[in-house]
Amino acid sequence: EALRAAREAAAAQVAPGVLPPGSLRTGAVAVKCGMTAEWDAHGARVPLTVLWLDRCQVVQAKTAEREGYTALQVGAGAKRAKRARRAQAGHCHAAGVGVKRHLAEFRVTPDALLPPGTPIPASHFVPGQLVDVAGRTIGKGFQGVMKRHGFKGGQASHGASKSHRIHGSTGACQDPGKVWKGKKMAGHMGNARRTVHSVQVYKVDPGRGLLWLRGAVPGHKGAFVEVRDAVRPRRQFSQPDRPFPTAAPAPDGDAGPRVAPAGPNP
Amino acid sequence: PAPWTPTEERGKRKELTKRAEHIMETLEAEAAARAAEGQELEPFKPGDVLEVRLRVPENRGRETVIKGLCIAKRSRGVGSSFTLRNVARGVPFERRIPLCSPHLLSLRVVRSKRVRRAKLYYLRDKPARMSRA
Repeated sequence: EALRAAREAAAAQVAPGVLPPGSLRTGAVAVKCGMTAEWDAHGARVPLTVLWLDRCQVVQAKTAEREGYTALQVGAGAKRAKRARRAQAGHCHAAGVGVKRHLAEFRVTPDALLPPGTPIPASHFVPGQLVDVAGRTIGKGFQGVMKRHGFKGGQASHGASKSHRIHGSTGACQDPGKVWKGKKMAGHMGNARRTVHSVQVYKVDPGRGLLWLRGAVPGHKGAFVEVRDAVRPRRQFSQPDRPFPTAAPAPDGDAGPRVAPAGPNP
Repeated sequence: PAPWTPTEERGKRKELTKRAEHIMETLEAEAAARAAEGQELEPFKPGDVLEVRLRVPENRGRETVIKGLCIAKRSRGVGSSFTLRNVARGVPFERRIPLCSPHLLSLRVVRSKRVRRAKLYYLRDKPARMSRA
């Protein structure tokens, strides 16, 4: 009702052009759904991760005058206003969007700022482009040095006494006479924010808000991830033109998914 | 239209993991249906001797025929596959073939062997003559 009207008004103001060089556009917040596989035009099998953009919208635009830097705060998902903290609910209400489950900020150049309420559809990403995906990795708990750092451990037999999976020596003798800071040891592993770089977008379905990415992405199924344009794309990948500042949302009854053009025959 | 609505519009909400599972189930079913309509494959079970025609991309797309005993069948939608086992010049070999692969052209059941298992991995410890297709 009121939210939808505000959203449509904001969406109508977006006139997508092409990403100019030297500009940074926003990313999106998506839900990691799971992994699957497909065969491309050459018949090679491509492992894919499915991401779902659950009503991804701009919640706040941060400017140099007010906040001292330029960024867009983007949210996705939904939460019952009764269940959200009042500050969270009020923040989203002030933007004219529903209460979001996850918010993330994306630094942008001032020409890429968007009004709050603008939806960021899946067609914001173009099949064939490279993206960076950041998420919280699956927690592994307290892990030993072999799993955590890939140490080779000790001998399984030949008289090795109680030293099959330990780290071995932790340094030299009197010089330096200490253990270096940052020495790899057993400890907590996982449940940390990590970014996978230069992941190719294989397929985009704007009508359903889905992205298929080649390869794996950090996090559990059902967890939120942040998707942005690759910061250091490999030079041999010529990136396709991307809508700037974002794409127009798909009209109902839009064509189905678009697949990336197949690369050279492997 | 998608068989899932944005969370904002749902009256009753489920955990995101459940919604993600639903999305994956729907996509897998669609992908498997798309792959199946391309090829009409005979139904088969572990224990059948199969003659499989494959397209070999390394050999400029030519057809090759592989014959073997199906020792395993895995049904996972798009990830479905089966394993063929045969003996060539005294050397046993196994090959796992995805069912939804575009390289799989056709399947034919030559013979059926009575087995009482779904997976015939015990043949690996048996003499080679028992795995001959």
